[in-house]
Formats: sequence, structure tokens, C-alpha cells
Amino acid sequence: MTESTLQAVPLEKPRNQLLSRMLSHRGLVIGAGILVVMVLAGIVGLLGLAGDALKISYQSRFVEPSAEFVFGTDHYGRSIFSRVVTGTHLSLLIGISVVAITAVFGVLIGAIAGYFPRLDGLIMRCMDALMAFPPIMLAIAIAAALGAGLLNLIVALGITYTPRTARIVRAAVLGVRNSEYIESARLSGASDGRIIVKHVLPNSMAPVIVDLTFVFAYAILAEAALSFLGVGPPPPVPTWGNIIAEGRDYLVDAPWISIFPGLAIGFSVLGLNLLGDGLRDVLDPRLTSK
Amino acid sequence: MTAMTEAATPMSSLLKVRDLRTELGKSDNPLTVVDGISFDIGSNERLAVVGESGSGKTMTALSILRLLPDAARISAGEVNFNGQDLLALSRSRMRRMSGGDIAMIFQEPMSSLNPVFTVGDQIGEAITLHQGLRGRAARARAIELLALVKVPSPERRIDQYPHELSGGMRQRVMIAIALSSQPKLLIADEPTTALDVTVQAQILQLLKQLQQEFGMAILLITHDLGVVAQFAQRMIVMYAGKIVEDAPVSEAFRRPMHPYTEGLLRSIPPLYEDVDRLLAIDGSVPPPTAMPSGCRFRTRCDYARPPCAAQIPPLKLFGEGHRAACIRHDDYEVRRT
Amino acid sequence: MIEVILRRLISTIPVLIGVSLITFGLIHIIPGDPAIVIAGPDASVDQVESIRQLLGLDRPLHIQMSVWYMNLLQGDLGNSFMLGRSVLQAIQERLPTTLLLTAYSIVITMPLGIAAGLLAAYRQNTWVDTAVMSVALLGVSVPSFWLSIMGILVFSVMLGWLPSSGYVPPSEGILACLQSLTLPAFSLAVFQIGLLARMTRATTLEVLRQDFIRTARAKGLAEWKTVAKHALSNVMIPIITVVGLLVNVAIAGAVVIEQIFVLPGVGQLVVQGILRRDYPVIQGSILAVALILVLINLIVDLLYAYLDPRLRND
Repeated sequence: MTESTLQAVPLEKPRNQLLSRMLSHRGLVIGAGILVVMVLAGIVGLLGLAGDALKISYQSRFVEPSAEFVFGTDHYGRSIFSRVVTGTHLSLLIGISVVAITAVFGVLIGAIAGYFPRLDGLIMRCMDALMAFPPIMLAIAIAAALGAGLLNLIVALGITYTPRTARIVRAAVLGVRNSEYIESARLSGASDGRIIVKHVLPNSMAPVIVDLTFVFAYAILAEAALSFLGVGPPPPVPTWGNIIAEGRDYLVDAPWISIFPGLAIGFSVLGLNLLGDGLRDVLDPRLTSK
Repeated sequence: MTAMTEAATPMSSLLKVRDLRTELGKSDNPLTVVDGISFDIGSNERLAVVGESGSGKTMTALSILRLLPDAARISAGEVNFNGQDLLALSRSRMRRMSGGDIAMIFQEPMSSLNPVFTVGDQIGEAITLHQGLRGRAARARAIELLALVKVPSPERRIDQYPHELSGGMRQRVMIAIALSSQPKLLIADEPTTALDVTVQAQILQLLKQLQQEFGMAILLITHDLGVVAQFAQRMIVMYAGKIVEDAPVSEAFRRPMHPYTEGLLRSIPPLYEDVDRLLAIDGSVPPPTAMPSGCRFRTRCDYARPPCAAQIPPLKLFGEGHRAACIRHDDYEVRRT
Repeated sequence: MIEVILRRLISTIPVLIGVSLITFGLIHIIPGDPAIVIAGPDASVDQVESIRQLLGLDRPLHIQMSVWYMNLLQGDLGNSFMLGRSVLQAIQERLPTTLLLTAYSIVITMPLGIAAGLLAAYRQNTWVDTAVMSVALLGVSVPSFWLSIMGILVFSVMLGWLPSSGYVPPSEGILACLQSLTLPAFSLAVFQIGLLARMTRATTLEVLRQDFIRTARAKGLAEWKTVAKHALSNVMIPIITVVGLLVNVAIAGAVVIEQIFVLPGVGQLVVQGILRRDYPVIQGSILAVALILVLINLIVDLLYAYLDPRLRND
């Protein structure tokens, strides 16, 4: 709008400048901090350092949050703290796996659709069809067909979120496909595969990274919902959704059973959302309204 | 001795701008984009403000109407219109002034009109606001205005949406909106830049004719000296937030006193060819963060010599209504006086 | 305009084909022999065989598919194992509850989400903006099913204001019906309000930067009128398309919420179908929901084309 702000922002920023922009973005730093806390909690849970999540103790059933049991205990006397911390690594595992599946297939499908106009119509109509279902419903149906279990849950969520990412990758690829440097790479005889990997994808990564951060957040939310409904890993496994579902029956007498895993979900998803918003501001300023 | 405040005053000044300073960005570390400029516009004058991108000409125009974007603010100076200091007016008084006695049209006729309302609605809004006409009367007046700006079949056009009109037609609609209040001053910010050359000439012709018909003043912002030559009586040349020359157009074209003006004149593109770059002057306007000391133009100036870095040269009178800010002429001036 | 409608109608055809194919394929991604899985671990060989025949799984794939499409075109979604009657009937009974819940949550969402987004955009970079957007961010971070459990704890158990479960059909009194849906609808709306506020803010900032806003100010139009007329008109048109997304999100959330509040909706039907491996019910329900979403998106897009003069007149 003003003359001095019209000066074009250089597309390729020096790396250290990007880092300093990231560090000066408050939301991004808080989000990254929350993610670090999650990962640490996940490691602690994985190594069993937060206590045994499955240890049953009938002497200590329904203990309120106290010094010994910070989050209280449930109807089997299991420590909710141990269960929530152990659940963290499951949520992280599921989230990361879903992001990996989505990234691989989303980028592959999106790049093919964007780069080869002949396949574009067919591929994108398939993606549209997948996106016509409400995500949780589709994931439930796929997970139910494949059978309950961690791996099937991951596959179901991966299939559910791939179309979104594919669509974003396609748009980004279309944006750079006809640019001059792609043209010159083509003229210098580079193969399609090489052009896609060396030139197209690196230049369309920013929106994909932002999107995958949000996929991570959705995956954690969806996993919790599916576990809660009984379509995830079966009960003794302390996924956050399972803990909340078990606590439901004792809501009046022991509300802490459901409260703490819910807070853990909210906290994690909040962190990922902050991270995603921050990355969008820093990596992809065109999407940000400033 | 400050010749800065001593503007080349035409016979009756409608608008007096004094030491106007506009800043951008954070207030603890501001970028000065308009740096203490002073000028006048006569009540029936066509004045052009010329400069490259980054010279501060648009910010000057927006400052007068207090339409600056959120990041910018006026930090000092006075804008006196018809005896009133615009910068001291309350917001509601200022609103009555803008679109009333002072109207403005913009560079992008494509985006300056709201896409979801009809042309008639948008002209009518201005009529209702400043003349209190509503309904049928407002519509009749809107059609009248469209006819005035030479939009063919205005009765039909009035119910159309902006996207149904060509760029030239849209700019005419913008002019109709501006004229609805019979302003005393019309500020036109690059009104023809986005249009092709033949339409450009028509719009300038129209503005000139309306200016004479209504006896208003026009402040035209442009980077195109061809437009200046066609349109203006007097021109102000801005460089890096400062006025470097202010003279009647014929005088400035014949005898430019500032090397920048000279460069601009040399870079006038051949007729009917729109070139947005000034080929004859190397480089571009320095950003406000990296202003050279002394004369701001010296880094691009062929005549630059060591004293140019010492201080910012003040505007000095070089004859009837001709001011320039260049120390190259100091010896000459001393001889003359 | 007619061309826009036609083009949009034609573009839904491949989506409909895709949706029906995916639904058909669902039964075939079951690992191993679908008939054995569907019959369950305790089933006898005869039971497995009868299921195989009932679902036509003994026939070649292309025959199965043509039967599927023939039935589909006649509105026949098959019969439910658990309910012992047609899936279509079961869906018809349960759809109104889900749609009512969805509509209720969207009626709550629209004014609050839009107002919050507008306010934040207009007060950009002030504490108002920060506060509103922080709440919106919390809204999209907290799972709605957990929120509804907390809602039950506070509003039903502790305060006793609202029922903790159960559904009163509108035929037994509109107010009682709305009361039975209030807690579920608000639980759903929190996420949607956050989503809508974030989108509205981004759209509004985009619009406020447009040149025509400056034109309106230059006309001398009062600030509130500039925003209310010139900004809002341009914000609302794209926001209309968000309704399609909101319905999508609401129905996804309803799957879980209906389970918690024991509401007899399509979401509950799907979950029951899954727990009892009632595949015709699962297929029929998700197909019905997808069709409704396609229809809603179609309506929304046509509405958009009608409201935006740039599309209307072309």
C-alpha cells in the first residue's frame, strides 16, 4: 500500500535470518516449547520412568490428586499421572506416524497431480471424494474394517488426512511449475523426476510443513476421539482417549480420571496449533494477514 | 534563513502545507517517509507532484487527507486548508472535509470500487453523505454525474457492478464520486497509471476540463513527466521524502535547477510508450534506513562534490516561483544578489 | 449464472461416483475373509456362509459392484443385521436428530464466530485481538468430547441446569427438545466458533487492506459504516462457503457427542454398527452423511455464486 512497503520480500532468506525470525515469534517459541515438553514426557513414558501405568492396586482406588498421586488414581488404583505420561508417547507415536504417512502420500499424490496435468483430474476427484466424508467418520469406518489396533488406527487416520495435504502440495506445485527456473531446468534436459525432487518440491515445501503441523494436531484429536469410542487400541492401553472413556463412569466421584488426560490433549494440540500458526507466519508470509 | 518554510506562494493559496513530516513503523525507531516539506496550492491550480517510487509523494497525498495506513503517522507540521488546520480537526469534522471540500481518486480503479455494490450505490453513498439527497433524487444526481464524466448511457451503467466496466470507465466512476460534493481540491494519486495510453489521455483531458468548469484545484501525483507536461501548470519534484524542486512546468522543463529534475527530464520516454523506469538515472531512491548524509541525491548525482555531503541543501528561490535545493547554484546566486 | 450452476452440478458427479465407490470398497479392505470377520469369532460355519450369501460376497467383484449400484439407484442400502430392517429406514429415523444437533450448533457458531473474528481483525495487534484469538485457539485445541464430559460435570451434575443425556424429539415440545440438545450443541460449537473466528479474522484483515476501504474512508464515510457496509459485505461472501466446512466438522463431532449424550442420531448408528460389525449400517450411514455434505456444499457454492455479483452476472 505504501511505497516503501511495496519492496518485494526476497524469496530465499538466509538461514540464520529465518531462525532469528522464528525465535522472535512468541507463539512459535511457546508452541515449540510445548512440543519439547511433550517429547520429554513421551520419552519418560516410554522408558517407564513415570511409574507403571498398568499397576493395579485395590488399596489405593479413587485416590484424589495428592502428593503421592499427583493426578489421583482410577477405579483399579492405577496412577493417572503414570497413565497420562505413558499415553503421551502413544499420542506422539500415532501423531508422528500419521504425519509421516500423510507427508509421503500427500506429497507424492499432490506432486504427480500438479506436475502431470493429464492425471490431475482423476487424482483430484478421488481426493475430493475422500474429503466428502467427515474425517472422524471415515477414519472410524476404515479402522473398523481393518480391525481395532494401533497400526490400523494410524493407517485409517493417514488415509483420512492425505487428501488435504495432496491438495496443498498440488496447489504449490502448480504455482512453481511454470516458473522460469523450472523451464530452464527442463530445457537443460533434466528428467521430470529430477525436476520435481530438485526444483519443484523444495520450492513448495513451506505450506506443506505448515499443513503437516496441523495434521499432527488433528491426528492427536482424532486418535483420542476414536480411542474414546472404542475403535482404537483396546482398554488397558493407556491412550488418552481410553483414560477419558474409563473415567466417564466415575465422573461424579472421581472427575480427575477424565480431567487430566483431556488437559493433556488440549495442551498438546494447543502447542501444535501455536507452532503451526507460527510456522505459517514465518515460512509463508503470503498466507498471513499482517 | 530557512527557505524551507518560504513556499513559492501563488496569488491565493487554497492549501498550505508547512513542514509536514510523516513517519512509518515503530515510534521509537521511525522511518521518515515525508521529511518536512512545505508547499502551497492555489485555489484554481493544477499542481503535479512528481517522483519515483519511494519519494514520499503518495504519503504526502494521504497525509493531507489523514488517510495514512495504520503503520504511518504525521509527526509534525501543518496542513492548512482554507484557513483551517486539517491536522487539528476532530475525526468527525475531518470526515465532513474529506469527500466534501477535498476529494481523492486513486491509482487502481480496478480495486478502488467495492465489487459487491453497484456503481449507482457507491456514487449515491457519497451524494447522500455530503448533500443529503436520498432515493430518487440521489439516483438522478448520480446519473447526472456519470453523464458529466462522460460515461455513455449512464442510466444503464448506474445499475452495473464495477467488474462490468472497463478500467477507464471505473476511473470515471471514481471521478464522479469525487465530484459529487463539488470539492475545492481534488487529489489524484496516479489516476492514469493503470490505464492504457489512449484512455490515459482521455481521463487527463476530462480532469482538466472539469477543473476549469468547476474552478477547483487539482493535486496530481505522478511519476510520469509526460502526464505532467499534458496536465499541470506547476510541478513539485520530490526525492527521498523531500522537495527538491518546485517550479512552473514550462520553467522546470526549460531550465531545471536540480540535477534530479534534469535526470527525470532526460528520461522522459518516447511518446506513447509507457516505461516505468527512469533509465537516465542510475540506481534507485535510497531506503529511509540508509539515507546518505547531506544531499540525498548525491549518490546518484553526476555533479556531486564533497560539500554535498556536509549538509542537506535548503530550498532556495531561483526566480519567480522557482525553488530548488541544490548547492551547485550557490555561486550563481551570490553573483545575482 | 445458469452456466455456473450447470458447471457446479456436473462437477458433483465424479465426487458422487467416488464417494459411492469408497463406500463400496470399505467391506473389501477387511483383511482376510470379510464374511468370517463380520460373522465374528463365535460364529458357526453355517452362519459365516449365510452372511457370505446375504452380502453377496460369494459372487465375483464386478457382479457385487453392479448389484451395489443397482440397489443404490433404487435407494436400497441393504438390511441391517442388528436392527433386522432396512438401513434406509434406520437412517431416515435417525437423520433428523443429527441434523437438528448440527443446525443448532451452527446457529450458535455463526454469530459468535463471525463477531469474534471481526472484532479481532478490527482491533488487530491490540490486547482485544490477542485475547479473542487466544480463546479461539483454545477452542480449536480442546477435544469436543472431553468438553462435553466437563459440561455434564458442571451443568448437569453440579448445577443441575441441563440433562446429562437423553433426547426429547421436537414432537414432544420444542423447548424440551432444545434443552436436551443444548449441552451437546454447545460442546460442538466451541471448536467451530474457534475455527470460524480464526477464518473470519484472516478474511477481514484481507478485506480491510483493500483499496475500496480507503475509497470509502476518503468519501468521508463514518468508520463504523465503512466496516459494517463495505468490509462486512465482502467478508460475508467468502464466509458463507465456510458453512459447508462447519457442517462437516459438526457431523464429525456429532459421531462422538451422540454417543456421550445417548442421542439417537446417525453418529450413534455408525458407532453401534461398528461395535456389532453391522457393515450395511456402516456403509449406509457414511454414504448418507457424505451425500448430505455434498448437497450442502453444492447449495453453499450456488449461494456464493448468487451473492457475488462477479459470478452472478458472468
